[in-house]
Amino acid sequence: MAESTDCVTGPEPLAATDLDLVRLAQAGDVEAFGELVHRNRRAVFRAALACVGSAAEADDVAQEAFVTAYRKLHTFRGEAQFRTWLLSITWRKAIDRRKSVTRWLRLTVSPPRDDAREDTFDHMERIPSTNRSQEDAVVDDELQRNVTRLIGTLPRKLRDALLLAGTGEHTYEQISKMLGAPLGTVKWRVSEARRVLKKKLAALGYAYE
Amino acid sequence: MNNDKSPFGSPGVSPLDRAIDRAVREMMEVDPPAGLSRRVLARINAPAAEGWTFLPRYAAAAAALAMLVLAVIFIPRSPGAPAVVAEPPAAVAAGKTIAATPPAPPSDAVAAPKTARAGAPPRSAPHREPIVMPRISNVFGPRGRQVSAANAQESAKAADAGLADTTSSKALDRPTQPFASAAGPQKPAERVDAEALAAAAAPAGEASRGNVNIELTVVEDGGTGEPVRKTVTMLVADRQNGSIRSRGVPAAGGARAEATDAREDATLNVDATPTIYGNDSVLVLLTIEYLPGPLDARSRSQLHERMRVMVTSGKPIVISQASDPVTSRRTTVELKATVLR
Repeated sequence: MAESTDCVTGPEPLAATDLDLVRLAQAGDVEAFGELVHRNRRAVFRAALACVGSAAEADDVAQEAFVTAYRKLHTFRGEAQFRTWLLSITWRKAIDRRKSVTRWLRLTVSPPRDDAREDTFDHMERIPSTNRSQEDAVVDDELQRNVTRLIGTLPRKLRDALLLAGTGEHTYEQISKMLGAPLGTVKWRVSEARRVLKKKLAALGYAYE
Repeated sequence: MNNDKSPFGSPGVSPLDRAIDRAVREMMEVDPPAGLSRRVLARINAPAAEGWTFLPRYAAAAAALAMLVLAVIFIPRSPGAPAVVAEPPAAVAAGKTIAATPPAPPSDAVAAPKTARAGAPPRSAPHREPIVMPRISNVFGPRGRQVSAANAQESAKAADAGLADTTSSKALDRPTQPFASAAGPQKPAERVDAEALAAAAAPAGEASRGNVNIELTVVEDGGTGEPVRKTVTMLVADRQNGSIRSRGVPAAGGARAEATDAREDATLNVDATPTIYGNDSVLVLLTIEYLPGPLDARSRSQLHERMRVMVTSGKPIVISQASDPVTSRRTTVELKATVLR
């Protein structure tokens, strides 16, 4: 099966097709599981990226999440969407990676920027998506850099919710399942994150009416 | 992007909102590296290698953490053994006093025998206080010898009298049994008793526990007439020395009137060193020299005694009887020691 690297603008239809693939994979069809990986790779990768902040680590986390999901595939009963179940596994793996000693050592050896918190969202190795709109080009680059930097200084809970909501791959319900928080709490965290960012930007002089 | 369910689907109200939206998109709209599916399937198809790939990643951190925990748990700690430190100086302190060093102020010697005497558990941790090492003149120390200032003087007297070398360890090892003044090296049982007595006695340097009224009576019985009693009384403090020197010159006109030799004078010299034990026991070291004067011109008896006697306070006891080898004279010595508090 040729692996396409084209970006998909929105979440792919999951319902029956994914379930069929799951049944086949549970029966031992590894290729069926490979198709599941292909369909959900972006969502898994971006969820991991929102947590660990590094593309390289996100790739490792994504691999671990898929492997774990394959090994625990027999426990999936189909009561929830496969992607939701998969994203829950991914988020746990990402959290474990974020709390890992090795990562702490790495951050200690390469300390974050002065204005960032200890578990900051370190600089991201961005593999730019080809889906950038023309509108993005008119925004002030300096403002953009400040916003990116300030996002890394947000509290974890606010930052996670904000980034997961901005992946374009996850719904609020999926984010709620991943974070283990009520739906209303997730929405509040996203709103709160935006409010804090605007407050910090205003302190930097970015006050727009 | 699912605009219906995500707030990022709607256009930002302000430039700041748009800037935030753009920043988040740029951070998160990232595609995974190519070949993710291939790598996942490779790991799935190689479960053994896959399991081992986790090991190096966490093994080092886990091993380091485990070693740290073990090091904290099993760091050897110095056992508090003040008993070992406190107990031995008892013998060392005894040796120190026997070496005729000034008896004051052996604070370390005071501490150690106290511990031995009371049998109390070891005191404060040895490492918190500097350990003062006593001066050691005889590393072997006396074998069960009672420690007191009198011993030092006793040794000096014996040396003056031309007895065996009292400064040698052999002399220092003379038995401490009060009733075995002429005995050789103590037997283990006797040594234990002597050690018990030494432990029961107040340590050298401690304040005297009272005075002892020593009453020594020499009864001379010549076989004819009434026995002649001569009494010497002295008040001596606990563990201190008391001495009396008495001398009598014969009256003129008597059988001894022509005697001009000082040796004809009668003398009664007594040295006593009492040691109070408990409430009513007194160990008395006695040295007696008695020259009664000749009853006739043919003989002149002499009495020299030296002994340690354990007596009950206030109870007289005959401590010796000696017969004149020439005449029928018999001399009895009676001792009564009374503790005065």
